[in-house]
Amino acid sequence: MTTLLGTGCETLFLTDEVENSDRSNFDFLWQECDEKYAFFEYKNVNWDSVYDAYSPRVNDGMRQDSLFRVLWDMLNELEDGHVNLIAPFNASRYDIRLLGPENINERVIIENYLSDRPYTTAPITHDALAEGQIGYLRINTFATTVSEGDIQFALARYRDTRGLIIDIRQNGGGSLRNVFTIMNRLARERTKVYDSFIKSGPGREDFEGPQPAYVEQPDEGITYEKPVMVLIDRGTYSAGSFFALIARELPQMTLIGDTTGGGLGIPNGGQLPNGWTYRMSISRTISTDGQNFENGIPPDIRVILDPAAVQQGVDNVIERAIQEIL
Amino acid sequence: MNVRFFVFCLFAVPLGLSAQNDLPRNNHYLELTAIGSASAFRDQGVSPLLYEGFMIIGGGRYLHEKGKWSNSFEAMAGVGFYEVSRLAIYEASSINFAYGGHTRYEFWSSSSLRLRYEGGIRFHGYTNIRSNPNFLNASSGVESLNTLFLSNYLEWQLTRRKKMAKNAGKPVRKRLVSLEVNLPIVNTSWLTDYAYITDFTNGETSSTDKHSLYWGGLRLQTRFTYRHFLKNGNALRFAYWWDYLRTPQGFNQLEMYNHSLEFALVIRLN
Repeated sequence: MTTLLGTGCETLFLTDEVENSDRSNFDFLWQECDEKYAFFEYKNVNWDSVYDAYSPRVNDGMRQDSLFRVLWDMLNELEDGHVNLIAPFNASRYDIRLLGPENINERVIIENYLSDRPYTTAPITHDALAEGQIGYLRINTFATTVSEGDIQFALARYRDTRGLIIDIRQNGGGSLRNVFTIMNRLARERTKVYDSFIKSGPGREDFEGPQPAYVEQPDEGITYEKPVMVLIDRGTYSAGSFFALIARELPQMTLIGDTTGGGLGIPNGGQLPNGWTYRMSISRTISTDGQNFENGIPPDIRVILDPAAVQQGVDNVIERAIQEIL
Repeated sequence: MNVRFFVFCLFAVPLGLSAQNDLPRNNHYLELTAIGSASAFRDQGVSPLLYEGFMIIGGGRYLHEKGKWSNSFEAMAGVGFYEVSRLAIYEASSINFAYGGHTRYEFWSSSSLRLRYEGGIRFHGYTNIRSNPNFLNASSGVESLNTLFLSNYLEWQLTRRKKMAKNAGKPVRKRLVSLEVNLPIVNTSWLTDYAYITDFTNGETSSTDKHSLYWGGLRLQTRFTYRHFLKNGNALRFAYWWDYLRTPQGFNQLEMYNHSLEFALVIRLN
């Protein structure tokens, strides 16, 4: 009896495996997006029409590279940097950065603004500007952990300045935990910064929420309450955009530069029958005044990097930030 | 209606009762267990693919046999490694906690056939932390899968009565084989929600957030056991388990099965 029940008997009970054909993989990915993607209405995408447009391009037995290309093209209809398809030989992407100018020239900053010995504390490169009156913190990623000690060290170094410049231009994101580790020490009081909603069913408006998010000063340690200028551009994406969205809610902070790339929908991941993996945005983030900034957070002061100024070794975005503080 | 009467009603009619009785027993055992499993799972919440691999589990069980009653509690922990092969090999791992127990009553026995039958209830559950880096923000998942079973236990004593009688008063190496078939009464599963992600909203979301409790599904469990008693009352136990589990149909349906070989040192405590 045990032999009957135990030797491969689970095959009697296991649900059928999804067919692994080019057609079924296309249908599977389309269906997953159809049921889970969070921004069809916001982005005015008719997903059924997308199916009709791309389905004829799929044939069983086609080259894997060709199938990948079709799926990539289909996903890019969503114009979302948080939507990717990953195969062993390639990874699809939608490059948000190309929607606007790269609003920073790192070399100009290194050669003309930072001393020859700037500090690097975790992902934060920092130094004093304007004869020590301003602290400049360059954070080009949130993918590297920022500890409480890291941010306190940086803030302690500039505690006597008149203001901070936090430069997150071309910051493509990372962990939200790092954003809050920094922002909690810059908040003057407990402040609601946005509401999150997460997909809860296959319907277009099946969302669970709101789940509010707050910044709040820690009970202990170093904080900074003076003015903060946050520099942004189209390459400021995902966690970078969350940083900008929070800055928008804090009265002592000003956004300077170009509109961010957005990416406030958090992606989750999954797998196709052929093993390729994917991710897509499945949540919405709404500002406290009810706005959806998925396509980007506009600056308070719009400043585009001037190529002529760059030739002179001047970053006119930083210059405007200095002007605002002083 | 007390438990004893309830269990009596469940088993008395279909099986009939025998007046056969063994000598009263009152044995306390501690079992130290090591298990190796050929395992597989499919979590439709993130993948339609069946990941196959193995688990290594260790733990302990306390068993009390008193008169016609048998009670046990068990707790185990282990790790699992799985993969599925397509164009590339995709790997997953897990940390597993298993726990359970039973209470059964001897409804029937036969001296001539050297058979005993126990019936009762068994509880068994898994809490798993599964990890698959390929799933990015959904790379870590926690689930708890728990079942209350109707437990059926049939034991056959291999050692002949004649030998037992001949060696009365002396220690005898008793050998027992048993078959346990557990059929589900209630299944519960605590699973990730529709589109679960870690690092949600403020980076503080943990892997245990965004879960829901589901009722139903299917679970079957059988165990074939050989117990070899030593002269000092301790024993060695070898067992083969088969365990199949399926949560209710839905977007996040989870299936898993284990073929397990178990070895235990059975230490008599009294």
